[in-house]
Amino acid sequence: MAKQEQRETWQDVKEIWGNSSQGKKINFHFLTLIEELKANTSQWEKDSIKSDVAKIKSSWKQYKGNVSQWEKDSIARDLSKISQLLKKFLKKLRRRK
Amino acid sequence: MQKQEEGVFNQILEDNKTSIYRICRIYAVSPVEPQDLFQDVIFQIWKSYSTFKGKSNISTWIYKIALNVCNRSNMQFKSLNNKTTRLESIQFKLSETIPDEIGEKKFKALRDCISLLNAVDGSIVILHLDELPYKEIAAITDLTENHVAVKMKRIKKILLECITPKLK
Repeated sequence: MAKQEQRETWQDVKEIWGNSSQGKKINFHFLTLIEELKANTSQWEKDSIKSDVAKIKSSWKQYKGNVSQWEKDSIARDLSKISQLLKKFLKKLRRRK
Repeated sequence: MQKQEEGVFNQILEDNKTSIYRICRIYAVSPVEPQDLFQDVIFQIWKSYSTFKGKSNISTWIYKIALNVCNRSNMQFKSLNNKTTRLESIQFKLSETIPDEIGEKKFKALRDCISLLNAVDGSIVILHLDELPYKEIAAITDLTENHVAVKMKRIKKILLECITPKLK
C-alpha cells in the first residue's frame, strides 16, 4: 500500500472515530444522579453478596463430595481430642474455684 | 460525598462523557447497547471515586475504568443475567447530526477491525484515536512509552490492512 494511501486511510479512520459519538446527545440530571447512584450501590452490594454465597454453596457441595473417609475420621479424632482436653481444663478450673 | 465534591464529580462526568460514549460504542456488541455500557461505566466511576487519590490525571483514571468495564462487558453481562445498571438520571437523545448510512457502515467496519485486536492492542488504538499522547497511553495500559510506540506501529498496519478494502 502506498504511503500516501495509508495516510489518507488513517485520516479517514480518525474521522470515523471522531464522528462516532455524534448520533446521541447525553444529558445528566445531576440533581437526582447522586441519589440514584447511592440507591443502586446498596442493591449492587446485596446482589454481589448473594452471588458470593451461591458460589460458596456450590463449591462446598463439590468439595464435600471430595472429602475422603480418612479425612473425615481424622477430623472426628481431632475434634474428640479437643473436646476431651476442654473437659479436663474445665474440671481443673472448677476445682480451683 | 459532600456538596462540593458532588460538584467536582458532576463536572468530571460532563467533561468526559463524549470520550466514554465513544469507547462504549466500539465495545458494545448486541445484545449489549452502548447506553448500557455507558451507565455501567458511570456507576463504576462513582463506586471507585472515593479511592481516587489524585496520583494520576483524572482523565487517565476515567479511561482506565471505561476500558476495564467495556473489555469485560460481555462476561459481566452474562454473569449478571442480563441485568445492567439502569440510571434514569442519564438520558440519551438523538442528536440533530445523525450519521448517514455510509457513516454507520464505516463505523461498523472500524468496530469489526478493532475487535480483531487483543484487549491491550484494542485499548492502545482507541486511546491513540482519542489523541492521547504515548505517555498517557503508557500510564493507562501499564506499558512503557517505547513499548506503546512499537505496538502502535504494528497495530496501525493491521488496522489499515483490515479497513482499507472495507472503506473502498
